[in-house]
Amino acid sequence: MRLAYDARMRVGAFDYEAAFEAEGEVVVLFGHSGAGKSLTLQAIAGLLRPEAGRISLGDRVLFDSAGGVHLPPQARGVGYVVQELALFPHMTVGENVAFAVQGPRDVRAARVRPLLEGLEIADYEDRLPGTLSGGQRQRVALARALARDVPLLLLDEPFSALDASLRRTMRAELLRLRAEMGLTVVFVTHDLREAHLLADRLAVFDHGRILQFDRREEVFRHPRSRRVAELTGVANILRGVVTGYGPAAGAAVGSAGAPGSAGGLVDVQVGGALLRAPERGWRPGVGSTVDVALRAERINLRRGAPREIADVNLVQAVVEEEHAYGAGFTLRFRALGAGPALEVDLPSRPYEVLGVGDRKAWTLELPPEDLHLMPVEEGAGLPSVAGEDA
Amino acid sequence: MSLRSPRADLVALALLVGLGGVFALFFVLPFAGLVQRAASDGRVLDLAGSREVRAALVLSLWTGAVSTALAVVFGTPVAYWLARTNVRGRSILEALVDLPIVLPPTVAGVALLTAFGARGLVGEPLEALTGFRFTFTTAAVVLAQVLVAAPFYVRAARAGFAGVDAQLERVAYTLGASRVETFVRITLPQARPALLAGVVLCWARAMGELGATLIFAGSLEGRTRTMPLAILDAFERTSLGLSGAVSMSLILLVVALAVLVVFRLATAPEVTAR
Amino acid sequence: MGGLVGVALALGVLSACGSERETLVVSAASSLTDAFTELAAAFEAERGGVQVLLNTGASSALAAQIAEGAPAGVFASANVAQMEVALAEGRGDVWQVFALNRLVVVAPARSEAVRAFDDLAAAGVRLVLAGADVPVGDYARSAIAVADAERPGFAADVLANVTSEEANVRSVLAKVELGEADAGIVYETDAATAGEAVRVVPVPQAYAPSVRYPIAALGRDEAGHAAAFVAFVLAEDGQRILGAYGFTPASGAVGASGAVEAGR
Repeated sequence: MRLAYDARMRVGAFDYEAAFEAEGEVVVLFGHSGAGKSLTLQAIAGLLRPEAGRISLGDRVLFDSAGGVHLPPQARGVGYVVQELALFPHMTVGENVAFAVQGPRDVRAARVRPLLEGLEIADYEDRLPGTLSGGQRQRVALARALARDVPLLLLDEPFSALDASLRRTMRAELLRLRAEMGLTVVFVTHDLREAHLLADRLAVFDHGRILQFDRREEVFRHPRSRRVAELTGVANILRGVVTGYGPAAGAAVGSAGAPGSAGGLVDVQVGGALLRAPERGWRPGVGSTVDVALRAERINLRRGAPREIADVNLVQAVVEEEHAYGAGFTLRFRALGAGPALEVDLPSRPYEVLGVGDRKAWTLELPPEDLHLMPVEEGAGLPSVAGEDA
Repeated sequence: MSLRSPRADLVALALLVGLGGVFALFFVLPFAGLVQRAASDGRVLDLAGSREVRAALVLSLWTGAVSTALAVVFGTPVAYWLARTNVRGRSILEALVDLPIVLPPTVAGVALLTAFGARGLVGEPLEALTGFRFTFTTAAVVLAQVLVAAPFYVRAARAGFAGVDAQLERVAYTLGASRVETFVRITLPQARPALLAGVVLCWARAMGELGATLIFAGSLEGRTRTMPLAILDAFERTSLGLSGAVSMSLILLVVALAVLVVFRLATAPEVTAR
Repeated sequence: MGGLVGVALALGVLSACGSERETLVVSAASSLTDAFTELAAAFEAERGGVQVLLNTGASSALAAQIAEGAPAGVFASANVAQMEVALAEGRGDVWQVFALNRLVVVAPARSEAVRAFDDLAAAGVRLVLAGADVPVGDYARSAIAVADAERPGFAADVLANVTSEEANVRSVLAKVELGEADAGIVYETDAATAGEAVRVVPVPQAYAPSVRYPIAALGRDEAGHAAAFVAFVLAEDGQRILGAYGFTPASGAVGASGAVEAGR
């Protein structure tokens, strides 16, 4: 069922304004705490009344400031799970889940039983929540939220109190439920990996605004702004100046607006190195300042000597810092001669095969299709071009 | 000797035991005195069954119960509202509710006279309309008890409600429960131990009410002379004297102990189950 | 409440021991409060170096305190019966009557319910008396009993009208002054302090008991302050002060503990 959300309100220090939609998918609201994510869920659940806007679910209007509609939470028919789960401590698991269901005992039991079995907590039906493990309680909260046969599930950081392995299990469980029950899910998290794992679409929140709302890969690979790039974990954000358009540029003009690398290439001077990046429908003027986003895991390491290869999108650099993270390494490079400082993530296997541990100097290859140009935000208070990559 | 020296802790320990001992002794001795008097004075047990004592005990028990019931009926909504609202001036309202706790009961008695007495704000028109006068009636005893005792209930209930996670209520709403159903099925059970504690405190305070009752309700056997007034009266009377006072004090002591034990038994399981 | 005051005073006296100024605790009936406040000041001025701590309350309450060992140096009671109670534990043996008083009925000035002593028996009158062992309550009940001898049924009707038994004469008066009660029976001297607020109705001479105040020095009186205070009350200055407050001076009857029946 389609959720259409559009709301504005003044909240404490900032103006909140957000609009997005979700239909039969998992939409992740991602951002730091206090960015307005939980507020959004409360507005959908009816626990908070926005000053203006419209919220609808299918053909039902939940809230409409123009029409004076504000359904109470009881009448909205959405499942809502909070981080603390809010299980009723004095009720058994069965009573907690049955709380949401109206009707005679056997009707409720008929509704509750399959839910408990589906979530593998039927054995705990008569236990109190306080006696259950974190994962079991999580399942009870999900079962209770689903017991009203809701089309929309709102989840506010539900897994953040769980340990890593349980979190993985619960995410898989959630995706299974969504598929089986045809749910629309709005999921709030500040965990980047969780957002990446679960999201079909992603809304990046910052200070009460949605900076970008797009397909997950689109947000991660083509952040709309420097702030989105920062929030979504882009390690290399390089300030540069457009110096011209590459050989294929002429051909691209005709198909302006086509996304991806189908367009022309833009030459950008970054800290003395020349980088060539795809246009992606945006042609900043020659001489204008841009930001270039490049995720740390997209950079390749090469042994090749500098003069054997083309000098575009290549940076000679030496390893300055090295951090091991179990599954991989984060390397910080300083350019030899012209070029920006760069951060590179490398999984353990290539790290060992290449012998990075024994060799300091490398040629870094910055693949053009992984470079993403972003307009420089005004008033963002960023350091000057010269100082950026020093 | 510096505070660092190991001897400092020994001295502190000795001091603690000493001070604690004196403190404990101070609380035990008066009750020991009561029991000793009762044991040595043959009249004490006879008096316990006397007409005066029975009348006072019965009056105290039922007025205390009625006052507590009134406090619960009228105080619970106020306590819940105070626990959940964020309105400006809430702390002032809370202070007002707490006021009778910090004021001497005699002040409460005088205040009641000025409001419900024969020339009081409400008392005078009320008497003109209905012919009913609070002063010297059992109703006055109940008013006095409610004024001094209800704040103890409201205070405890407010803390109890504030301790119930508002998130539970919000989630209950999203599960389709009305506000009333949520209050009855979620909030009340959660706040139950605190409410019970409030009931016991309130009832105990009502049973012990003396000053406000004496001033506002007067003292008449079977009508307004509750146990504390009867104890005072007995103490100042040659016919009963200290024996009567001791006798009634012992009865109140036993009643209080019984209530505390029952309260513990009634609430302990809930507390551990949470 | 007099008991609590007594205990507090006793503690105060104990803690005052060892200070340079000597103290004398005088326990006096409630009705003596105003007169004894002035008497104490005059006595302090005359004797010097001694501070009088005045502890007032129902004589019955004071007697109970003294019987339980409260450290009073002088006891001034509103009747002989309570003096006997105080002296029963051997705290003293001789008492002397130092003043007389009269019983009156008081009614709120604004109320018409009680205009004569006989009205006390009218149905619906809210009558306030002091407790039966409080001297003023005792005197009042005797007056009612005497009247009952002339008019059988009078006492039952009046006692049925009692709506409260107060701890002392001052709280009886207060309840009438406030208009809470329709009538109360107090001493003439107390009624005089209420002024305009109350109407005074005399108790017929035939029923009126003779109200006698005995005084006694209690316990060991090493410094002689207690005996001096008793003497001061009985002497001319003391008697003049009492007279100024409406008491009838009397330095006549002398009694010894247990030897004399309480006078009525």
